[in-house]
Amino acid sequence: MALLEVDNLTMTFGSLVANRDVSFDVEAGTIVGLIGPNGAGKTTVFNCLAGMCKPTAGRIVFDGRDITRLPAWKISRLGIARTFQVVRPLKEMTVLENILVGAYLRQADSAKAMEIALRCLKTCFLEDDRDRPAGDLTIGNKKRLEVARALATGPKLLLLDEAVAGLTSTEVREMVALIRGLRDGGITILMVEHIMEAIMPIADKIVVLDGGIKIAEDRPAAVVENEAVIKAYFGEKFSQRLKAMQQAGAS
Amino acid sequence: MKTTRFQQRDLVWGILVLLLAVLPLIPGVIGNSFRAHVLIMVLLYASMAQSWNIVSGYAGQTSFGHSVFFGIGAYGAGMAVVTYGLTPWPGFLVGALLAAVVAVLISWPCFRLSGHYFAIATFAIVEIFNRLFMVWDWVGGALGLDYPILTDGWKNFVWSQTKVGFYYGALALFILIFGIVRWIETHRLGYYLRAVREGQETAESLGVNSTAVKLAAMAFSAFLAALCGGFFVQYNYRVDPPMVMSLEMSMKFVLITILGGLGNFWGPLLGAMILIPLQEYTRAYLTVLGSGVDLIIFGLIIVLMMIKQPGGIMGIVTDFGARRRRAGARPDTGV
Amino acid sequence: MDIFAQVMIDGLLTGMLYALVAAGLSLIWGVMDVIHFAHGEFLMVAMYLSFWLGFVGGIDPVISWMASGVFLFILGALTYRLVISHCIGKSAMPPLLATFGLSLFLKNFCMNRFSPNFRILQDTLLGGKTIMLGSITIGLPQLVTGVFSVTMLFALYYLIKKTRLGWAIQATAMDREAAELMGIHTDRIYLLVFGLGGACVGIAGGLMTSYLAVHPEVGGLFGLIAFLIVALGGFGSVPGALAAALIIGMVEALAGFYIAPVFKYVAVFMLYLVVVMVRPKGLFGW
Repeated sequence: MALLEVDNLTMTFGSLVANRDVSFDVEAGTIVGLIGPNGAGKTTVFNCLAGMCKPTAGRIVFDGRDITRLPAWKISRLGIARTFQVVRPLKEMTVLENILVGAYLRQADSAKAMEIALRCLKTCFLEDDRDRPAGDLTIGNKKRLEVARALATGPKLLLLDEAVAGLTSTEVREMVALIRGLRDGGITILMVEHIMEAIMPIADKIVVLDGGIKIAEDRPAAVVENEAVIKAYFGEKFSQRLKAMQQAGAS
Repeated sequence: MKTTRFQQRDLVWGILVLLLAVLPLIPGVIGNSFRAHVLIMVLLYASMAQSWNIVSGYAGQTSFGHSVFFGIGAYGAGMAVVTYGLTPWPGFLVGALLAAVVAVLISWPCFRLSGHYFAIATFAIVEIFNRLFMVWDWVGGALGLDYPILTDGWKNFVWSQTKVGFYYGALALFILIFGIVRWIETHRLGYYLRAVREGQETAESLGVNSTAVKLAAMAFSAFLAALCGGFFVQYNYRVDPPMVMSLEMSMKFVLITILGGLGNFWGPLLGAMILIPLQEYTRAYLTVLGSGVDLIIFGLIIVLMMIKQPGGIMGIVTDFGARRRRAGARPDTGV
Repeated sequence: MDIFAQVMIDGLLTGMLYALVAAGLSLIWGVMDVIHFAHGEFLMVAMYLSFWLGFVGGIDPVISWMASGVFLFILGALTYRLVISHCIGKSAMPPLLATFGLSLFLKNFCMNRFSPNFRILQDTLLGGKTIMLGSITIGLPQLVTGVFSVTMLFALYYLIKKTRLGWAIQATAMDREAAELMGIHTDRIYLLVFGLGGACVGIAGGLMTSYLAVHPEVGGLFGLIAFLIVALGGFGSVPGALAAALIIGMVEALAGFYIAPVFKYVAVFMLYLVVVMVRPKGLFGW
């Protein structure tokens, strides 16, 4: 049984259909990428998974439990943590305090929560900024903070919403290494991403959305050659480049 | 660095409490003087403001309704003494518990309201309670409750000979409330309160049940504000609705904290140290100019304060600190 | 049935007056997002002005409302220039508390200067006159004040909806920065809005002295009710304010007559709480 099963998820806002009958699974210990053009409904899927939207129809099963329509904080307690595409630092709290808020989820004792927070701080390379107000960070560090804070809640499944978009190429490499490290540490990852260079090499599976509908679900190598995906999203040229990139990576 | 800062703060706090505790031992400082009255008022209003600070400063839910909880506490003690002929102690407890229950019942629906709508709802609640208490015979109606003559001491919590007893009473209240807030600040609840203030949805994504957290803050806050109300009625030997349940009284909770520094541990004390002596001394010495002069000046000071330093006194301190930190950090970050 | 109709008419007339008081507040709130705490005290100032003009100068309220309207426009504009413009910004608290300080100042100043006594103008042009409509008695000053208030309200509505100036005000309300980029002097718009808010209570207060007593506490209640009306009507909406004001006027009159006079304001405040529980953005807000 998969860790996360999304079953015919439909989400409408008035007459606007953000998702229609989207189904996919996320196996434990894998990295799954969720891609698609702007407005494809990726973030809406995330919002439904994390409990910030109540799906119009469909079922979400996490770890054998139906979590459809549970409030966000309950879902977080069950072990799904998320980051936000538009970063949301708790501005007037320091970096360490931001992470502590996450750490307190599994550990009411302040000293032990502090240990968790310091570990996540280190994992995400934020030690130099630990006592700085989170609102003052650079965009790259704010993205890292999003991950560190989510990590501190001790999740089984981590939802990363464009965690590398807007980063410099060095930062992207660091973040990709970090994500891979998390997966190796036993955390399952579902990530929305626009930067194919970041997602293709590490993903075990790619789910492609277009216009709120799932148009493909396959291994990265296969998705790159999928006609529907090329038409809807990549375009011919980019698809060639991705293929070349993958071959280069394989050899 | 973080931990040392906390230790420093606790040290300052310990020394302050010790100093305040030995103050009456110095002859002539307390006695039955007006100075003693001012000191007691500073401790009381600092405690009130700190209780408000929990829900409005730390958790960011600006309440203009705290005079209701203050009033319920005052009536708890007042009715225990006047109506039932008991000591005020059961009244303190019942009043505080009742205030917490009322606070939760009122806040539960109100927390859904945003910004100004929440503020106006709390104004409306103060007016409702004020008017209901005015016509409610069981609580003494518009006449209020007047204390009989009682023997001095902790049992009755009244002292007519000297103000030392009330001073220690106020100090106990001060230590209790500031102690509780200190504890909250360094534990999970404190972090959750601030997280909810900074971003409710974000906090929820981190597993924080924001409704429960806000209600807990409100209950704590109302409980402690009611204890202050209990002290207030003992100190004045009487209570009536306009004395305790009024928009003006609610505003004192707000003003003192904001003047000192919102969401800051020392803010309520700083605010009370400035506003309360000002209020008491102008009231005492400027009455020759006619009634209300103290409030005319009080009003002007508030206006000036908001124009010049809307962040409060702690705002000046933190601005200064931040400028120094930034100035210090620049050489490290420069590439 | 006649009694019911009488109570309803009285309530409606009160509501019409409330509407003008609330419209000023609604404008300030809607455009600037400021809770103007001294709005009720501005009304009190207007009433005192009108009272003294009548008492000393012998000018009847049907004339002197113009003077109090102009005076309160200036007072509002001055308040913006000297106080609000210095503390408006990120947080809602500084302007709220500053205007609270101002209300404390104005109220106690009048208390100090004019004593807490109730003062009422004798022998005004309209005072004490009534007209009969079947078996229903309508106070002439109430009627004139009510009708005039609503007329002023429509004038204000026209100003906002149909004139270039009104469009500039609307633009500023939507997005101050964008309006600034379009060449609108938003600072001047704010000044004007505060002045207009003052003029509304200036006119209302000027008219009211025909039949209501003035005292230093008179503003508090009116101010509070104006808050409720604005919140119920949805902030920034003039028609919403009118509808909410009429509802509140009637509820107040009905509760005062059928329950007990002391409960009339309790009923109004309860109404507000019940409505915002169901519709958190007011009756006409989204």
